[in-house]
Amino acid sequence: MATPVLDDRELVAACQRGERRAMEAIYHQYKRRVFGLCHRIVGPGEAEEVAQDVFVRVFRGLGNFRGDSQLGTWVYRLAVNAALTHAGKQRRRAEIGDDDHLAQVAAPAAMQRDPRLSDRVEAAMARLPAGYRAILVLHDVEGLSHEECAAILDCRVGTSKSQLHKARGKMRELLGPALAAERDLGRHAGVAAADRPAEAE
Amino acid sequence: MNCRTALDELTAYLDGELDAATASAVRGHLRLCPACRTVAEDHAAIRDGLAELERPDPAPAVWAGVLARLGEAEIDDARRSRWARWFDRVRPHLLPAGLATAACAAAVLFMHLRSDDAGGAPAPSASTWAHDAPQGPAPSRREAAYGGGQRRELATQVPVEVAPPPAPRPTVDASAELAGEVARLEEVFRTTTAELLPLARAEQRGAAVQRFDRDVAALEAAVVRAPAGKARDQAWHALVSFLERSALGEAAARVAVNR
Repeated sequence: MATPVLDDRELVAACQRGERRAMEAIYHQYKRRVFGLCHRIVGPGEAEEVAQDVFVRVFRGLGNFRGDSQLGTWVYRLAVNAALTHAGKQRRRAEIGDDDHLAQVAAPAAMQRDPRLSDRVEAAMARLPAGYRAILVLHDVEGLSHEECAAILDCRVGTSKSQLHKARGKMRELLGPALAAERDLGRHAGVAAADRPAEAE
Repeated sequence: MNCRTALDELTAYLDGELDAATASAVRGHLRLCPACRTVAEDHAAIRDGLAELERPDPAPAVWAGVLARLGEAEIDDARRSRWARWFDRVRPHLLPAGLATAACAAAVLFMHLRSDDAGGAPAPSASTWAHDAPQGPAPSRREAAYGGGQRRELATQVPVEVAPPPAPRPTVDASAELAGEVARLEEVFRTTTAELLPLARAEQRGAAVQRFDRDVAALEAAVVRAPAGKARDQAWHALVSFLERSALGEAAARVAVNR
C-alpha cells in the first residue's frame, strides 16, 4: 500500500496531533538542507548538535506555526538563527583562548585533505564571518532566490544582494592563489564566465 | 560602462538578474577589460564551486537524538508547574503588551502635563524636610517600645516631597457680616429720621403739631418694639415715609419713596 503524499499543511497538522510518521517525514524532507547549512556555518564538529537543536525547535514550535510563510522558509529561518547563535558562541569561546575551537572554525581538516577547488572553497568559507557564510549557503549552495534569502534572514532583498556581493568578494580574497591556478588550468575560459548568464537568458 | 559600475553589477550579472540591456553592457565591458574579466572569472568560479558543494547527509543518530531530546523536553513540561507553562504561553506577548502599556502611560502623562500648562500650572511641589511638616501624633506605647521613636527621628532627616500648603483663605464670618450690615442700615435710617424730623415738624400748624408729635412717638415706639430684622426695617420705613410725607407733601413723598 503506497504511502499518501502529504503537503506541508497536512504534515504540520499531523505533527500537531503528535503523529510520529509526519514528524519523520518533515525530518527527512529538510534534514540535508538543515544539516548542510549547520555544517557550513558552525563547522562539521558541531553541526549534528546544532541540527538536532534545530529540529527540536521545529517540532516544539510547530504548534505556533501559523502558516504565514512557507514551512521550508520557517525551518530555514530557525536553522539560520540557531547556527548563527552557535557560531557567535564559538567566536566568543575562540576570543577567550579556546584554541581547539579556533582551529576547528578557521581551518577545517578538508583543506589539507583535498586540493580541489570545491574543497578550497569550503575551507575558505569557514574563514568568513558567519553572516557571509549564511548568505552564501542559502543563495549559492541551496540555490534560493534573494527574496527567499531575505525572508529567512529577516532583511531586505537589497541587503541580501549586497551581502552576497561582499561575501563573494571576500571569498575571492581568501581564494586568490587557488583561483589563479584555476585560471591557469583553463577550467574557466575568459569569456566563458561572461557568456554563461547570456546563455541562461 | 566603467570598471566600477561593471564590478558593482557583477554579482547580479552572474546570477542572471540584470535586464538584457544592462547585461549586454556588462558583457561588453568584460570583453574589453582584462582586469574586470579576471574578477568575473573568479566570481564565477566561486559561484560554481559553491554550487558543486555536496549536501552532507546527517548520521542516523541525529534523528534518534532529536527524538530523545523531544522526549526529555516533554517530560520537563510534565514536571513544570501550571504557572510556568502559563508563563511560557504568555511570554511572547509580554514585550508587545509592555510596550503598549508604556505608550499609554506616556500619552496620559503628556496629556496631563499639557492640561497643566494650559490651565495655569499649579505651584510645583516643593521639597522640604519632614521636620518642617507638622508633627504627627505621639507614638503609642507599643510604637515607642518597638522603635517608634527611632522611626520619628528618621522621618525628621529624610527629605520628603510634599505639596505646598494651600494659601490661607480669609476667614468669613457670615453672622458678623450680617450684623454689621443691619447696624449700617439702622444708622442710615436714624440719620435720615434726624434730618427729616425738624423739617416735617416745621411744616405742621396749630393742633397738627401735637398730632404729629403723637404719631412720630407712636412710630418710634414701633421701631423700638420691633425685633431686629425685617420687622424693624418695616418700622423704620414707616417712620421715614411718614416724615417725608409730612415734610414734602404727599406727591413729593411718593416721588422720594419711588426714587
